[in-house]
Amino acid sequence: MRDKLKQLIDSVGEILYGKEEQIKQAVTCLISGGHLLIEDQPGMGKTSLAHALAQVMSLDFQRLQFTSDMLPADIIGVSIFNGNSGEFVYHKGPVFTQLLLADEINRTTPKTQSALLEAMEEGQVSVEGETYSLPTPFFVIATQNPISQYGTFPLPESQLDRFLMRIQLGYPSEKAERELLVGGDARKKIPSLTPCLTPAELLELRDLCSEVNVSGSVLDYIQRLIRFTRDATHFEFGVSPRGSLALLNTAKTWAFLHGRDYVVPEDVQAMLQPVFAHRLRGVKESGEYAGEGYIKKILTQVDVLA
Amino acid sequence: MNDQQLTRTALLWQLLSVVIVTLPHISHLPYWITLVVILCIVWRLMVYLGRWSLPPKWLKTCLVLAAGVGVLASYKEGGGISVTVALLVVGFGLKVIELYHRRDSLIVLYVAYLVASTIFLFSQSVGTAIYVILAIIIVTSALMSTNLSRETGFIYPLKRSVLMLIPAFPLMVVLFIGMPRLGPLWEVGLDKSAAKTGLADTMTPGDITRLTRSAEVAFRVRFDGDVPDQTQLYWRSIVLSDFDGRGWLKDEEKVPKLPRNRDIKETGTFQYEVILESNQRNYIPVLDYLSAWPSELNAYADMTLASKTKIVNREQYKISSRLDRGFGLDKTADDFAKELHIPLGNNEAKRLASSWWQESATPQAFIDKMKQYYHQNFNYSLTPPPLGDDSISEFLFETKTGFCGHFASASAFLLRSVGIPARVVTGYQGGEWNPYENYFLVRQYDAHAWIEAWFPEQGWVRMDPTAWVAPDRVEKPADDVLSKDNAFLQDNLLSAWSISNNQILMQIRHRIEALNYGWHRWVLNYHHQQKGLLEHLLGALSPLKLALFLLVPFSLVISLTLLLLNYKKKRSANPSDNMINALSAYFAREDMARRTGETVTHYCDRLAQYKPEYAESFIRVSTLYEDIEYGQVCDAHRLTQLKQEIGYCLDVNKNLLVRLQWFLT
Repeated sequence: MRDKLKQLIDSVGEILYGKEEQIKQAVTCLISGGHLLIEDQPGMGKTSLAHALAQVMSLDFQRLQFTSDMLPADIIGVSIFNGNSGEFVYHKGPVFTQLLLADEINRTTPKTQSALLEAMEEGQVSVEGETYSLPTPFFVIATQNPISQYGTFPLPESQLDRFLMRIQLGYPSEKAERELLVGGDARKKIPSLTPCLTPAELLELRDLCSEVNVSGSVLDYIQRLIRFTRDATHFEFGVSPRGSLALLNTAKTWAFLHGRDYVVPEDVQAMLQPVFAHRLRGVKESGEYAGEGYIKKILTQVDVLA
Repeated sequence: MNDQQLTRTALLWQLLSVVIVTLPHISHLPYWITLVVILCIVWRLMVYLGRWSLPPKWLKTCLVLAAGVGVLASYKEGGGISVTVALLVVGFGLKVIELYHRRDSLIVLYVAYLVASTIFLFSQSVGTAIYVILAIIIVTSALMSTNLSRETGFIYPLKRSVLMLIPAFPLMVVLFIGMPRLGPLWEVGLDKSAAKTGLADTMTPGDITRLTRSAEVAFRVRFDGDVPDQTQLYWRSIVLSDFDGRGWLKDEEKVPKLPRNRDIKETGTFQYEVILESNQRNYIPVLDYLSAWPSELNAYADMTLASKTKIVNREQYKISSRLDRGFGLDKTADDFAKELHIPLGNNEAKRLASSWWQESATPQAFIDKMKQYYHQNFNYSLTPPPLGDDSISEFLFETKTGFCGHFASASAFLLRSVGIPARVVTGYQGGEWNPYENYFLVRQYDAHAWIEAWFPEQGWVRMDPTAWVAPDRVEKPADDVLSKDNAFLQDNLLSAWSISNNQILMQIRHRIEALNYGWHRWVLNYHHQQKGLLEHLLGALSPLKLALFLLVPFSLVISLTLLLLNYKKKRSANPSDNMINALSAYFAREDMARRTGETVTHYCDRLAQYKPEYAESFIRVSTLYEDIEYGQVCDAHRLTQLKQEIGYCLDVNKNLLVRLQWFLT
């Protein structure tokens, strides 16, 4: 299984040069069964990453471009009057898929963004009193531009909390940039990527990861981290219990990904930035999420040993 | 912080500490102050229960003014420091109704410490000391509860304050032993002239009876070396040579002073130390007859010793006496005009004396006749019938019942009637031997009167007419003898039980007395012993030695406390964590301590780079630690291995200190 995972990561790596760390984080997020938010400037390869992940995991894939005039019905589907039968018939929206790529999610209004809330948390959609289950596995990979850019609506906290991870891609390194320039647009290669994982194998992987052992001292450490976010005065609010579970689960997967069947504090530390950064807001900034600095503060002020 | 409202637990603690520090003052303060304090506490308690509201400002102002006027009115005649204490207590009580913010409580508690220390102005017994220590603990708990921002259990502040005060105790002891004295704090002008009893400068026969009602301690005596027989314990205090027909007075003319004899350890003398309670007079009881005394005291030719000023505090003197020595040998019969003077009246008594004198060949025979007369017809009683103007005659022929004063007075009169110089001596007789601390305790009810008669070649001879009538009075402790008499200690119900013959009670009483004695000698009068004790401990004294004696224990206690606190903080329940902490502490001196938040693996990697020669060990440490802590393969074997590896990295065998620290983990 681990070989397959390695292969998967390598395959995606062929599309996105020099971003192995981010790819691993994204894979960890999906194996842990969470939704992924990719935030960066336009043109950094967000969509490519999402696309490539869908391809190698051989998941049903729907891409949805969010725009400012979108309505909830455009996502979850709509009931249309059928003249022949004289009834309203429900037409499923693009959300009914295994992997939904919500491109530029913060370009649409909060109202439309909220349409995803139930789908993301419960794996179901309720329309006019009827509840429809979504296929399993169901993932949302959303991309967004930094909030400071024009024409964006910040995601509400409730929505943000539902994303297991938020990752940032960042500029490629010198070497990766050169490779990119020489090799040409890698996006064309995406359809030709060989799928490495079936959905069934993905679920099996998820079970394996949840069996990773977590010792008491690691749990203590996680609790200390969470208490710090709640007690320290740097943050407007602390991390929710959902956030602490997210940290634990992703740390388990991260440990599995690194060939261990137990979690070490390094795993927790590696997951801190992607899992906590979008769940915390510093006291002084408004609208911005806790940056690198705040996470570093947590890391250097909470001790690993009791 | 200071504007915050007090928590409910804190408020209860404040009220408790107010109650506990004012309680001992009730006995000597005007009763209305107690009422005011109770009213304030009840008021605040009702506010606490949500029934009443805090008083308005105008009412508080009125109360303060009224209290001030009240104190002035109550102490119109003045009362020294009592006035100040009364004002302090009443103000302290009134502050309670203002108790709302943390700020108020700080004021109340700081004043509470002061009020607690003023308790010592009025009593300095062991019980008081224990009480004040308890009060200090309570007040400290209240202070603790004020500073706790959250609601805690009621007991929690108490636990914390006891823990905090424990390290202060050794410091208290060191300060007590080593601090130079400026005289005890309680030697301030308390108005206590009415408080104590003692022997008066005059004696009418009924006087001593007054003293027998008091079980108050008169003085304590500790002998260095030999202890005289109980029958020899006549504590001479005042010599009365003027007789006016009814009572005996002290000589109006100045008695010449005795020349000084500095050799306190002269052979054949008894050396002893008298710890004298305040008696509001000058006299100091001494054994017959004085041979050496401290230079600050005056000794007189009648072999009495007196202090130059009134004894208002407990004092301690080293004295020596020679029991075998007579005095007054150098005098002739002509010197005794005063000791032979008899006023008019008491003619029957005079006739009786002359008839005896004619029948007797020698003075001794006369005395024997007197003895015989007493022996046949007289009763010893604490409640004799009152006597009229011819007191001696009435006593000898009518009432025939009396106490030591009557016998002494009558005997001296009879002797004078036949030309033998005689006078009355008052003082104390006997004392209670305490086997635990080896000292005599003399109480007011041991007060006694006897006579002295002068014979050529013998000088002054002590005679105790009371002993002829009731020999027990001299041979046994006073309480054994007197307890049969209803009048004895009749005002003192509480001591009645202690007089019983019950062995266990007696033992307990002796124990308590021994404790009190030790307390007086070593705590209250410690300034007398301080130099000796310090010299015993440190050898010859020098300022440097004294400073070291004070500073060393201080720094020791403080550093130990800090170390303990630090140790407790650092030490976790996890043995492997402790080892890593020790490793980090060791490398801290090379600026390679583990940073907060740094994982053990990362830290060991860093160390491996820093000390490549130990790299393998560090890697093994990190692997072992990971296995133990995270891989959950924590077995004793791995722990020992980890200990060995870290021990190797630390070079424990090179440095003793490191080895010690390592051993402690």
